[in-house]
Amino acid sequence: MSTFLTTRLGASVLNVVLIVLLIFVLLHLAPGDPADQLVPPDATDMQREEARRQWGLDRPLAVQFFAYVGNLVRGDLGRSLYFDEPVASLILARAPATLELGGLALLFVVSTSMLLGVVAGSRAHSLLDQALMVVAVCGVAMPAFWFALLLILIVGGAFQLLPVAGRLSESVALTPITGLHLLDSVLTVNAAAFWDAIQHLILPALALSGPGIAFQSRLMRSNLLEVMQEDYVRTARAKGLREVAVITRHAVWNALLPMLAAWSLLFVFLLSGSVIIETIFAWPGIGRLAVQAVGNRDYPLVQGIVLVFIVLVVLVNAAVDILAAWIDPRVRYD
Amino acid sequence: MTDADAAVTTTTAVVTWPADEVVTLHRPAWYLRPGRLRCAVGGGLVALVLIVAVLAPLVAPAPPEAQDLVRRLTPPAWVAGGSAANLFGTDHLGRDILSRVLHGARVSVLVGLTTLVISGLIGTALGLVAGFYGARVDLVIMKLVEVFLTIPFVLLALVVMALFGQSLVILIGVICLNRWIHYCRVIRNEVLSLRERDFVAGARALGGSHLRIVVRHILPNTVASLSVISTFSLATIILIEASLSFLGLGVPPSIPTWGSMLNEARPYMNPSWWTSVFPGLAIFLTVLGVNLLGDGVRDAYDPRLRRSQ
Repeated sequence: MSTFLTTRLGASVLNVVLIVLLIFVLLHLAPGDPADQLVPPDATDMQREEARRQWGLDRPLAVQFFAYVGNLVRGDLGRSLYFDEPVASLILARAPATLELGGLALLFVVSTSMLLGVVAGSRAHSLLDQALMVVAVCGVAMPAFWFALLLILIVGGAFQLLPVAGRLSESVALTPITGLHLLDSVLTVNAAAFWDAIQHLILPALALSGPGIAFQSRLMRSNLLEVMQEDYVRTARAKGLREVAVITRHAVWNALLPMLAAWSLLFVFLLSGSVIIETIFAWPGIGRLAVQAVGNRDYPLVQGIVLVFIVLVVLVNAAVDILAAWIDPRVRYD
Repeated sequence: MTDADAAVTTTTAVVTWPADEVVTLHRPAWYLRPGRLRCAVGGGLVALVLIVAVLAPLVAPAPPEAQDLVRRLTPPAWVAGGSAANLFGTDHLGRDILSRVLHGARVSVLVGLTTLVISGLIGTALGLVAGFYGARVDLVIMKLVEVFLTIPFVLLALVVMALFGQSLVILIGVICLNRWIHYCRVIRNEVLSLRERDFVAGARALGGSHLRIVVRHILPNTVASLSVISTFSLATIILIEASLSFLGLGVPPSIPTWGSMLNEARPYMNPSWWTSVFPGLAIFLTVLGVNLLGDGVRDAYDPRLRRSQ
């Protein structure tokens, strides 16, 4: 296991380095002079040259790259051109909102898709199974942003059941501790804030998780059907176990192993989705900050956000792989 | 035995079980078989979108950019206040939504098919090389795949579109960055097993060059996987294009697309619901059609999957 851990973590570090290099090259391939972003449009050539020297843009590309990596290692992600604040603190300030939304969406996807997949798979080809799979096929084809707009239109607009923008109503007061509104309202025993925060969370989390639920339910169902053909399931049935016990004790756990890889892809999917969903629901998280940063041509901020997202994905992928190797020793020898 | 299995083996199977009971399994009409029905519905939807894309300028009731501010936000024809001149209603600038939805199909089809071909060519070529040569070449190519798989794509696309500007070429290029990896992974895994097969050994023994073995003997055996990935990939490409257009970073704003229509509809969709419902429905039905077709293609190539999928 230790050899596997070393190799896996080594690969993760290499991935991060390669991606940092890729982003760096991409930003420098872009047309136009980065110095244009640093000086006013009517600046003289001398001022432009001075800015280039000051920001190190006149140095060779390799030197710039190592300086950039050096700063990254020290935790310095640079300074936002638009907000004039350190990139790291801007991202940290918005991280709890994204974490709360992504966490709830992940919970929705994993719990609902497992339930639906098992229900459909255990009654394969029944009317219920077919109905669930028709919904799932439609769900996979539904663009997340259209689903979000429909939710806003129907739940938030026509029936006015839930709020459609922001994290907390203006009339509700909450003392921030962690930045996670649900946790903070529990810690400060503030039932009104908890209820308000939950109400604000439901629609964005539903919109973010919808396509994921549809996709993962289909996957869970087909995994379960595959496992149900195995010898140990036949043995479990032969020894007289009830079908419920056969499924819950023997089949489900074995059907879950291939789902681990799908969950790490799901994480990337949710991070990507958060960019769009946060924009639609005016959710003050990192995804919306990314869209704003791109709009403002705030490259250090864009670069910082991309990097944080990618490091998160690499960490989650490594964790999922290690978990899979721990559960199933065969994985270590692949 | 399910109907689908029976359909694969014989037209009419006579199964004797138990000994004195004869069960006849008739093959049902093609449209009653679940796989075929999906395939027919999917194929029909895709064909409809293709026809609309080609004929949009002829069948659209109005030019997509023609504005009529007096008639702005007119509801669809069947809703009170609607008119037959604008079947799906008009948007905030009085443009005919039906005409814009019809023209929107052109961008989806153009971007979808072009990206599919380019990313398919790149991914397949790299997959063939990685699988056939193995060793270090495989290691390098698969590392590249792993790196690209790690990048949250919408974010990468946002950055590239912002840096390089909005154009069809950049849009197609940026979606290719995401799609080639899927071809590469699947084809490489197929080639890894194909290259060990006897017919490849035979071709080697006959003195076939590497290029000949790969192109004449291995590539044709990957056609099944290629067609399955291609259909599912097409659905993803259409969704990505719509997402980027929705964020205002797709094709230039002057070209009508379903994604940009939804983006423009956001401030007006309540109560003018038709501005957001019809473009969304167009994306949904197109992607649904392509996915159903993909399911059908996969079933056709691999009947074993009919039971589990």
